[in-house]
Amino acid sequence: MGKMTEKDNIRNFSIIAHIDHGKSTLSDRLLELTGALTAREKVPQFMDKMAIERERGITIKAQTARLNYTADDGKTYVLNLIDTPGHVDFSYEVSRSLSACEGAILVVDASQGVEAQTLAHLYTATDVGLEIFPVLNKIDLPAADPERVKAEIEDVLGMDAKGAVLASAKEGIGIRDILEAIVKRIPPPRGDRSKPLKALVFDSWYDTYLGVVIQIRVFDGAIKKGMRIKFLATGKTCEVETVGVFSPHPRKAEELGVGEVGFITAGIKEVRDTDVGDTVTGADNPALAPLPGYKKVKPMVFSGLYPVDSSQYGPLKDAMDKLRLNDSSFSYEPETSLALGFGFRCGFLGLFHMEIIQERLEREYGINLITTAPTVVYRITVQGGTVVHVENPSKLPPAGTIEKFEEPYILASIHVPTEYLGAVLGLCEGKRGSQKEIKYLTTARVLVAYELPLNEIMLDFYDKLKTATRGYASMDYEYLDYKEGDLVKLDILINGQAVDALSVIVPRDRAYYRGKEIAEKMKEIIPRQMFEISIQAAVGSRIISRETVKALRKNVTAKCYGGDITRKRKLLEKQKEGKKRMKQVGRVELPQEAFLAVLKVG
Amino acid sequence: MLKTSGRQKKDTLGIYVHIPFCKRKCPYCDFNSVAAVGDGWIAVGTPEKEYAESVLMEFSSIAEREGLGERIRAVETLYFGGGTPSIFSPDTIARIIGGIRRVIPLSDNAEITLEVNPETVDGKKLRGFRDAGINRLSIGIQSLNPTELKTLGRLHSAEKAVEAVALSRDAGFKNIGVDIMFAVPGQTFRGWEKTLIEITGLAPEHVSIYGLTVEKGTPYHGLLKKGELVLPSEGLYADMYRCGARVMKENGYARYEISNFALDGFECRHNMRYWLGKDYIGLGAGAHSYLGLSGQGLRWWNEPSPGRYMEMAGKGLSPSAGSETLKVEEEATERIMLGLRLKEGIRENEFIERFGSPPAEFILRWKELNELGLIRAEDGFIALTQKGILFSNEVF
Repeated sequence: MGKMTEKDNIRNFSIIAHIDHGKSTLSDRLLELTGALTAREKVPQFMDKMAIERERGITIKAQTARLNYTADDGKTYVLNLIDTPGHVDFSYEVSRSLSACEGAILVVDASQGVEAQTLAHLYTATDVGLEIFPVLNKIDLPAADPERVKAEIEDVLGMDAKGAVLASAKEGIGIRDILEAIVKRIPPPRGDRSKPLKALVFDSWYDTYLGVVIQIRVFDGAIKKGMRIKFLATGKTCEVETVGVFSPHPRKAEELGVGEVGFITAGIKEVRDTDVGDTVTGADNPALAPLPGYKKVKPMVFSGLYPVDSSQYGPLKDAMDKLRLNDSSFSYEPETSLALGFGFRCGFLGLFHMEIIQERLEREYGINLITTAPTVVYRITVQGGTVVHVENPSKLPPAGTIEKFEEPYILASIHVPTEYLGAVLGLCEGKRGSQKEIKYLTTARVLVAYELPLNEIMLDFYDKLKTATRGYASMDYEYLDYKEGDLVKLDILINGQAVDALSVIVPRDRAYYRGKEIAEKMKEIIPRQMFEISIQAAVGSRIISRETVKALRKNVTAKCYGGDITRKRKLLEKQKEGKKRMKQVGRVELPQEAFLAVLKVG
Repeated sequence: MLKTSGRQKKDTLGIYVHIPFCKRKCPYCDFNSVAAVGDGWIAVGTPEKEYAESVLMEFSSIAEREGLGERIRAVETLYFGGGTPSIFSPDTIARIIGGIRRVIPLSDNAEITLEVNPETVDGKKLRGFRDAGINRLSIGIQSLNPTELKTLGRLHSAEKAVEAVALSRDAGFKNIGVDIMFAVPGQTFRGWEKTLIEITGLAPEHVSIYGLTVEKGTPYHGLLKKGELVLPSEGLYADMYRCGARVMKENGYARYEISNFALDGFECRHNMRYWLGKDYIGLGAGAHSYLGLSGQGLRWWNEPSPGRYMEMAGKGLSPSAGSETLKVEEEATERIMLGLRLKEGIRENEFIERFGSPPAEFILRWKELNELGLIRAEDGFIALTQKGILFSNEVF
């Protein structure tokens, strides 16, 4: 069992980097050099445990590793590396993980320089008051230009880059320098052991054997086995069963004291009892005030998930139950669609979160899914003053009964090099945005703040922003309130029959263009069948656009003799698989992409 | 009491011999064939004797390995396909037929077919084939329109094609099939109808009517992608197919398979074996074999390169390049995809006996297909309708 460490010998830090600037490789090197990982365990990118994380090169869950490092000054330090999730949907989780640290390493590719994604996290890190120092990675590459990139860091980020550490995680260059800089430049944690326990929950997940495992950072006091604790936000009280650290494998500890990072288990069955950002305190001697920054995370984006094969409804539910054990921000309710049958209306933090969940359901649980276009939650006041929240366009009350139609807005903060400012403004204006602020951070970078309907950024905003700024813009957003809008429901009719799962809510003045675009896109997606298929877009009873998928005139194989059979059979089996993945609406077979056509236009 | 009878030789066999040589490769052809240096009617550069010996070596090995001697009563059908098998000399063909029957007897009324390209034969050679034992010819006429023949890269003229049929008759062949093609670039509906009528004028016993299909890897595919080749529209394809079926019917040829028409009693028995799932052995480069009646279906296929095939088979090694043992559902898929090509379709009882449930259960969206009028169940058979033929890939 590990002993508590003196807080002066603790350094808690995170690594901030653009997606392929070498964060994972650097983490691996730090683990190796401090002996936390043996050579046998050196799976590349140890910190990214989920297959999806490794493939996409991003981190979804926060991971921590406790490293023991004997510095040049002869003292042994405990360095807690706290890895952060890497996407804007998880910006709140990122802010909590960063709050558990005193410092951060900013990793910049020595040839590519500062890139957009780095910025959002960097600003969050600055906001929570971290000490940050830059590391120029990949200095072994021929294209590396450390002087230019240093100038860029000073210019663009306004950071002192004179002391930047030069490194190559791949070649193992400069790793010790980084460890020294962590010890020397990042301050030790402060806090008071004699005060009541105050620890920050920055992640939690469900483990089949242990129940919910909670990652915490102790600010004041200490936590040990057998202690009765209380979660200030959720109000839950329980008894600590295990205390431990990740080094990086889980290892039990006697207690966690001021400044320490580790995990506890307390017989908790559900992740949603352990909100990220909540404060853990002693049940008998509680702290008076919680740690700052807590927010209740709510799903903001909803979409319908339906099994392609209706017999997979049960397995889908089981799979979602399991996923929710580990993800309190994911919600679902049973829902029925005329077109798609029985399924679920699911809530997500954002589009990326939605993609991850879908991908896990399909890959880890082997369920073929049809996903409807994501939507926000609309607030509708109907005649008589009743307010309803609608998270499925097909459930909208009849147009004539709606008194007030409101949609959620966000405040988007976009950091962009000045040369792309015009493009960003154009994009935001085109998405019904209203400008709140333009601030020059340096001569080369601008902060643009816009109020935008959440609905508008859900469709293709990121892609457009990336394209318009060649990837140099970074964006973060926060939720504002609801605002009234002139909105209508756009229905899509296939062979005259409205398909509920294809309905979308759009601003009235855009309905014509959206309808036209969706119908055109559907025409491309729906394969020709033995009869003509009409695709119509309608608002109420008014048809605003019509496209036709021409009938197939023949689909026949002229020759099939002894040598053709195996090949033809395999082709047929493949086609059948494809057909099984289609949904039938009337007689028309719709491929899965058809239900997302609305995403691919606009 | 159980009768302890010895194993009865009750099975029959079809044998396909692939001759992968041509004088020139046609631009639409994706069959396994190589162009041989040709001079006159026999391609000088073709190692036909060596190839024939390899084929016979291969057959002996298979017969031994699969115990064909004990199981097979007789070879019912023998088919020389290609490539252009008629570039081989009658002697070589005779040698192969003789070599095969030394291992397993040919039944008295065995169907022995040779594919013939018009430009490779004259009266003498055809008589030679007749004497060698060939009793059915399949003549690759393809078209009687000079422009189309040129487009298709064929080496014969329309006159030569007509002459080849006449010479075959003179040589004593009483069972002649011809192949013709529609949906050829540049072909018109009228032109197609004219070819059909001229073909019936030649009075073959059997007509195969193939819609041109552009397969990947052929020069045609490249031209199509570059936009230098324009195929008739789907609508015209469908119309041409229906026209073919009509002209055939008017002249007494019944459609017995999607692309095959014959006078009564002249259906190609060899090809029927494929569609009915009966056993066949394919000999030669790239040939496929299927042995299924003994229980689980086994299929294997040969090394496609003639050179490597001869090297392996000639040494007594198996020239097989791959094989598969069919799972029950794969076998069922094949039975449906092949059985439905036939006019009579699939006999439900037989299917249920073999696979445990009716064919409809293996056909995706059977009900809709039925409602759309593509398939029908009648008198214990399931078959494609007239309309279903043109959409058969949607059904299978």
